[in-house]
Amino acid sequence: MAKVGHRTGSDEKLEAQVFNIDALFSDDSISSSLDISDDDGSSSDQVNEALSGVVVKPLELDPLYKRRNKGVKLSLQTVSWAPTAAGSGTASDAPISTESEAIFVTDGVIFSPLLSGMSADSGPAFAFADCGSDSDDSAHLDAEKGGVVMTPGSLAAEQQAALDLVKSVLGLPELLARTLLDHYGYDTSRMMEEFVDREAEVLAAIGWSEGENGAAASGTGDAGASDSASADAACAICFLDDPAELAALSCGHPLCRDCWSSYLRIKITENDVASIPCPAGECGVRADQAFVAKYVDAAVFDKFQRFLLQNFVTSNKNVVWCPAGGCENAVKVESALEALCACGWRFCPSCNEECHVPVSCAHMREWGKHLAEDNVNKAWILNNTKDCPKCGVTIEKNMGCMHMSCGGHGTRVTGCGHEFCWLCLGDWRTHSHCGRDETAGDRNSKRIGVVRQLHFTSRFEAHRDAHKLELELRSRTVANIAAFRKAHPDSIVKLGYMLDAVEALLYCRKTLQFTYAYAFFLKPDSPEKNLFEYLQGELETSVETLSEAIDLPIDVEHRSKIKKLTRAALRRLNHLLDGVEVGLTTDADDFKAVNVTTDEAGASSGNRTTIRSLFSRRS
Amino acid sequence: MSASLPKRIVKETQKLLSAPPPGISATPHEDNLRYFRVMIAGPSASAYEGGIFVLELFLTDSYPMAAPKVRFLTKIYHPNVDKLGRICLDILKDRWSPALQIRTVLLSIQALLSAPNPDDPLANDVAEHWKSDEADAIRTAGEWTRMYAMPE
Repeated sequence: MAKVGHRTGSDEKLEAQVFNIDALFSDDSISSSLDISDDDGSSSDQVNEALSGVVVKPLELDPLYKRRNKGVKLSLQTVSWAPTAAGSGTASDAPISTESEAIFVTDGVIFSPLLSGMSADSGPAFAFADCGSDSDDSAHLDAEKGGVVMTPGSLAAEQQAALDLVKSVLGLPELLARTLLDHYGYDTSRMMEEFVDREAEVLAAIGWSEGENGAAASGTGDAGASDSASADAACAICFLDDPAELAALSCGHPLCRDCWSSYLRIKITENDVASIPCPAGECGVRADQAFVAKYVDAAVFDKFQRFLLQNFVTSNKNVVWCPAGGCENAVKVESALEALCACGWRFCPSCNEECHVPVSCAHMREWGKHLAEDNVNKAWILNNTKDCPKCGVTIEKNMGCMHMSCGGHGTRVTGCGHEFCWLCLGDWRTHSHCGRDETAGDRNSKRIGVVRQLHFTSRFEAHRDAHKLELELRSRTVANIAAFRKAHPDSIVKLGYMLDAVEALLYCRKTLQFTYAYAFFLKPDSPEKNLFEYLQGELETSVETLSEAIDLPIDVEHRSKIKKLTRAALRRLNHLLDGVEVGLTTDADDFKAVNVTTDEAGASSGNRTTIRSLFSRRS
Repeated sequence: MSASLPKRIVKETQKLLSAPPPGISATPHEDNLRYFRVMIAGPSASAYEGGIFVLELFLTDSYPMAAPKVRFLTKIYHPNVDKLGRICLDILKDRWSPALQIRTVLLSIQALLSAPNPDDPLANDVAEHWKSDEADAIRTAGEWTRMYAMPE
């Protein structure tokens, strides 16, 4: 579901959309819709794919979707436009955010945000509108895995919706509702259940003081001088004793206006906004928004609200900030391993790094250690050193003689002193002749380790570099489409398939990159690893073919071929990811958990389930 | 006398001079009324009993929105005070509230002398000593008190 944990009333519309999409997938009419033939006859492929359980959305879903969602006022044109607006970094308000939310529960959206990223530097706008309406291909990646992108505007609305719900259901003042929700990570249902069951405990847990509740509920909590009417009342901060200047929260501890103002400003500047307590004494009574608004200027209050919004994201387990530099969006995540922001950045919501499906975060951290070490150094070590056959220390041969003694040079004794032959690594005293050379070194497991590691890291990096180059291919394709349109103004051929192909290519390439990290952690020579490498090889072949095919001038004759290649690549991608998720073989121990604690391993298997739902919703 | 000295500081100073808390004295410097010379008597039944500890206290321009700066000038063997006399005390850092005063700060420091907190140390070696062998640590603290905090 695109809207996990979404229970707020104001978003019923979106829920409804999601339901529609799901209904589409469970609907029998899909199979009949598959009979609507593609002009190049590729519908048979789609049927096959559908039968084999591969998730590829049939092209006919788009018109179907449009028909069923008449009430939503959402055409594909607007879909292709909305992320451009959202991704342009302009201050977003409600209408835009509504659109961008809608995008992600709509079919074919995976392109929209990515296109918006490209639109900045290339391609006329009509090209995108064109692609939007041309989403006629089955090769769509599943939009849902990216999560729902939230702009600052929609975030505020979402937060307010949660607050309003709690306020109306439980009849609580806003401040208390907010404090409770912060405490419960905006899990509204759990919060409300526990509050109803054991109110006193919950209030104690958030440090809510007696009397604060009622007083705050009655208004802003600004009791003014009247509450603290005693004649010797004075500002607790500056000792000013003019009753007309004094104000207090419900606790009655007075402060003068100036002191309230500076106190609140300091608290807000320090981002200490979640709860601003009365500064006098231990009463623990908090200032609510209305009270704050009274004593700070607009700029500071603006900051106050921004920080409250940040708290919303920080404490909300389902929403994460987009980690891309300068991007102000947040993403409501659907998968623990994958999120796609409207700015085009695909990231892992668990570790905030670049998306690294199918590898778990724990393994990525381990992998990072291997990557961090300089490959050039490793290659040098590999070519110029050998490991002592006795103690395993790495030895550089710095003189001509083959008679080596481990670490036995002068005072710098670092090795075991073992004497051996550089060529055969045999004991120097007993060895007579040696024709064997390099391979003998492979007896040393550490050396194998280096070779092995180099194998994986170099491929990992090769695919990473290829991905970079293919990002340029994406802009090139957009430019090519525009050029084609210009050259053939009368052509009615839809070119969205080219963009689909590029996106599929980029996605597969990225995954391919991380499969090398994944494979590194598989037990060598296990059936699991063999099968994984087979699927990886299949995907690799597909990806290379597709990459070559795309990087040619646009020729409508190739349309069918490119579509097929795209589908093939995605099919193989799904095979691989499905395999990883359920386990390729029955021997579960083949997956060697390197330095991964049980907890993390558990988490990663949980992630896999999510991936499954992302990549094979329909089988 | 600085004309710009806030009313609060004037009042606090007056009260500190007219009714000082027991065992504590704080006197503003004649050239700078925001700079105080503080003396705290070592609390009875502590390792610091009998000692007179001199501290300096400075009220920054942001006082009382920010905590005063305080440090020991007398050498002291205490897990929450480092070699430079800096003090690890929550109300001087994140728990500061503008409603706290010089008086409350000094009383808190006095209380810290009565009850050292080795679990939240500033001087790690001292804290270790405190945790591994409290009696010996207290003995050392007493020696330091006699050496540095007792005027001839």
